[in-house]
Amino acid sequence: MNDLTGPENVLITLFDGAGAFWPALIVALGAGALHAVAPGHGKSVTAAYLIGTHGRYRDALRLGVVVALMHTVSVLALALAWVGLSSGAAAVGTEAVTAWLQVVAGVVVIGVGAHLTYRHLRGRTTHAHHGHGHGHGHGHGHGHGHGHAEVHDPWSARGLTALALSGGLVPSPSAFIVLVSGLLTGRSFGAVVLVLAFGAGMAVTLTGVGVVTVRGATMVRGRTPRLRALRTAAAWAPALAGVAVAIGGCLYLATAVTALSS
Amino acid sequence: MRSGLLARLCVPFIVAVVAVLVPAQTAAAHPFGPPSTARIAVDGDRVTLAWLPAEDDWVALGQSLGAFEDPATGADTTLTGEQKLARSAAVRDYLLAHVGVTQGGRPCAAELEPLERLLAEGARFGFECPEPVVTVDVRIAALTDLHQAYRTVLTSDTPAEPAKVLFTKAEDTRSVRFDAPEGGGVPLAVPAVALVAVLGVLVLLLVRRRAPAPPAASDKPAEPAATPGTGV
Repeated sequence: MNDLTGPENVLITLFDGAGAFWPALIVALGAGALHAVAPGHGKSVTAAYLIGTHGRYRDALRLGVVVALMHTVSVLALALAWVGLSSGAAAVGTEAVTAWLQVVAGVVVIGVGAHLTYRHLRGRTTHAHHGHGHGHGHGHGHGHGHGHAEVHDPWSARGLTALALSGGLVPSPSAFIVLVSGLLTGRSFGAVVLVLAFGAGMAVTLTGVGVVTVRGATMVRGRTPRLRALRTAAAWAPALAGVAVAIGGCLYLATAVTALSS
Repeated sequence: MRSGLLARLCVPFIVAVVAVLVPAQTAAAHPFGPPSTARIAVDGDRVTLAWLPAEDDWVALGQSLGAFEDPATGADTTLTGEQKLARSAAVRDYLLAHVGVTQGGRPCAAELEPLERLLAEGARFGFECPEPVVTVDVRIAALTDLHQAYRTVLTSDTPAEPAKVLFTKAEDTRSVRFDAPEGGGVPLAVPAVALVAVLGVLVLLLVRRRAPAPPAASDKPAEPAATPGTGV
């Protein structure tokens, strides 16, 4: 039990105690925000992806919102199934379903990472005569990129969506427990609102991480290195980011396979 | 300049290292995640109840009660964890002290069947009540003393009201009536509507995202703008 579960404990205690709703709502927001700080939800892989694709602030915001919405869908669907099905079948099923969701998330992340690396390598081969095609620090604002092809790369958008969906696929155990408890004690509405607040808290953290990543990457990208060797090495950063994304996916997968085989 | 470049080179490595060193959170880790389950059935003045926690919950319980160490012989590697739990008097005492049934304030005599196959069948209790059972108070307080997030959902094999009952640390005793007509399930309309609504918002967001972007306002009207058709 690590320290990050503290707010989640408080949330469950407040909800079980059936006291005032507002404190529980605020704690749900905070617990969601802190939950997103804990490992998982694709923060590392998405940060790598934002670097690898030269993501924008808008991408970071969308990412946070999509992860939070997907997570809410996941918690609602799983809790509905758990309560709706006969308890014996559901008890066995939920953990397997969760692990399989993690398998799906892992495979998606590996695919996105592999594609990012492949695309970069292919791009380098195709555009070799351009030298390195990056580092276009024109200095007039950030994020709009004056119609640069990279910004409008449809695969970049799809990759980010895929990462966001996979990041929200595995439900938070504490949000799940609050919702199941609410359904079984006649407090469905309150529990659903708390789960939504939990998702909103997650969105704040994930968007924040994304914005910091984009800001950092933009600042660093604006500088053109002098040494040719270093320039070449820097041009490989997106490919390395792709590898990092794929490694993150492998870890998801390994965790899920361990859970399934134990 | 070089420091910026170094930072640029380092970021993917740092991300990879963090990803490697910090394993993903186990989504179903107890006490969070799916509650333990229990099943109850009534026949005349006899109540049967099976309490079915997950395997890691049995491990947590066994460890808290010292069931995996034999004080006489020390660590024993010849028995499985399940067998050690089954032979432990502390585990039996704990279960009998934390699961109970009362009828009109009078306790129903409890017996706990041998804890064989406890991973598959759980802890199986039989309660002899003073009178034929219509309404009883069921108490399930197991595990909640270890952590407040532990909880058990009781489902009845005999038609009962309520059909599913939640036991928490805050509320470990609940009254169950067995003369109710069948069919009173858990209302699921609110979460179902919420699921459809959130799913709808998510789909809308993703569809809008895929739609072609409106032509960007150019600060240089004469410039032949970015090629259309490559929009997201």
